[in-house]
Amino acid sequence: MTATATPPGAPLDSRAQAAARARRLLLGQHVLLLIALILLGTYFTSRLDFFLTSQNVLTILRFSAVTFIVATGFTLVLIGGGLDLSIGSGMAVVGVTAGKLFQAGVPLVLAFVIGVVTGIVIGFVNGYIVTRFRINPLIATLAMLFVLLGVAFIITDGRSQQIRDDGFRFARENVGGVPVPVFFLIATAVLSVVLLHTTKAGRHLFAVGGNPDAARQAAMNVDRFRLGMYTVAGLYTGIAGVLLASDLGAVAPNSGRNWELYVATAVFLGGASLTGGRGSVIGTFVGVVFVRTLDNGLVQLAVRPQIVLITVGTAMILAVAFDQRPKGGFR
Amino acid sequence: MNDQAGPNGDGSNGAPLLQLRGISRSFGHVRAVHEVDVDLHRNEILGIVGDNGAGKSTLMKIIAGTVSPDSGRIVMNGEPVEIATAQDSRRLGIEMIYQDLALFDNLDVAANVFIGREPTRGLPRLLGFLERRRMHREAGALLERLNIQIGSTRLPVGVLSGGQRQMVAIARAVAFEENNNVLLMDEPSAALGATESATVTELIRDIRRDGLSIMIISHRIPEVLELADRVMVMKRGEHVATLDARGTSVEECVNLIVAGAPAATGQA
Repeated sequence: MTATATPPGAPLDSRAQAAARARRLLLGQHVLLLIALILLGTYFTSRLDFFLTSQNVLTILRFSAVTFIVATGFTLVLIGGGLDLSIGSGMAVVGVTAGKLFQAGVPLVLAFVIGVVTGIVIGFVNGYIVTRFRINPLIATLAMLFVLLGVAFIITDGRSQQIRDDGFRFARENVGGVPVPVFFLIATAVLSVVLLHTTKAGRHLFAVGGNPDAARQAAMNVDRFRLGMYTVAGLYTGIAGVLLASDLGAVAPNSGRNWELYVATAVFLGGASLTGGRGSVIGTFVGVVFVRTLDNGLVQLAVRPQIVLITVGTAMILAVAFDQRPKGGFR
Repeated sequence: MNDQAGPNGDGSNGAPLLQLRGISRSFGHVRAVHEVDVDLHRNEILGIVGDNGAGKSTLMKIIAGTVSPDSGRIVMNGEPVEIATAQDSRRLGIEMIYQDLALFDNLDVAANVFIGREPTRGLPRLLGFLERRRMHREAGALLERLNIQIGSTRLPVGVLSGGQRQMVAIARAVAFEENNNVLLMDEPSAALGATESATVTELIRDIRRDGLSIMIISHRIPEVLELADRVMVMKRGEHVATLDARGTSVEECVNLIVAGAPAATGQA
């Protein structure tokens, strides 16, 4: 397309390039977070005999999997300049939809597929409200949090019920000693890295979130793009919601409670920003493992659940404070 | 043609490249642009000066397709054209660099140069895989050809200086030149220091040498008179006069901007 006058392959200034890359690699927020994670793990290991066993590490990964999947959708939305607080309730609606259908005799796979589609529809509705009515996503998805919570309670009549079926509880199985959700984690991570960091859609997501006005001037349809972004995030909510229901082995309308807290904390720790245009799948992964490790360790130390909430909430504040620190260092 | 100061050398051969006739646009009761005629010749640099609210930016946005005129015609290469959207103007080879530059601070230099026009392979459209190496190579070659000094095409634009940012915006605007005809620039040196401003001016001269016609809005009268071939003065939405930059002093120009009528030159 462009006329290339100089011979190809000649780097402009390879030293500056290498330096820029090294700086981003070494001082990226998720590397600092990784160090914090190691320190946290070391502390828990010193206090708990059971902490650093393969059994417990797999448990942390298993809990990380569902969180990571929904957090990745959350990350995409943040990068694109949006926000989705309705994830927990969305997962609950997905889970109770799949569970109730299964209880009503719908074949297992079909019930799960309809659950995932429900997630996609929820994402689309979120995106539609935000883009069509120009409502701040904080308000729109906060409202949706309660709307969807209400829907989940209506579907279940407010009651939780066990589903004692090994097929439905596939997420509790292990394959080769590895919990099934971990395979979903790996698949989601690979696909999301490819989507976000190697495709034109991913590049444009960063552009739309980083500077929506400039994106419009570059002839992008920002609203349509964001509608698509919320819909894709809905797919992640759908998959996470089905996995959660399967892991719980139950229809539970309140199963999405506090997920906003854990997910948002993990994603902000991982370097995504409320101002849009920033975030990564790797960062979110480390953030999720950090939050789940914190949760796991504190619970084993028999810290009261209220204190766990306070700790995770405080971690979120610290993460955002770090993100908004005066310019001039990292990135 | 019927413009006050006629075409003046610099490869402008007879018929103007771009002609605006009777262009008007109001916002509510404010007449932002009123019955304005403009000729932009081939390979010319046309300065546009005037006080705040004189209608310079609106006029430019009308050509760029981001503001639509209430009335008037636009003729390009002798053919009447319709510019209703930014895509229309881009199709005609018109690029605009806004005052805020419309850069993506969170993306690197190469990504900014190629934004919206990334070369991809594999899957179609948005799912196509970015040809990163090619973008860095071609962006690097482009910067080199334009003699733009930026350490690496991998630097995020957010860490660049004001002058470097301006030059990335210019590089992006001229990157796809097989189709480029007109470059519109709104206050390219407004936020720059003297040295950077001189570098940007040099770059503008270079790209004109490549065959572009350029319209520049600026507050810095001496700089415009130095850089432009002709200078168009606007006041309260109206076209007051067009002056040959070479024969005009800063005082004359300022008089026109303030008084809105030619004091000494007798033109208009």
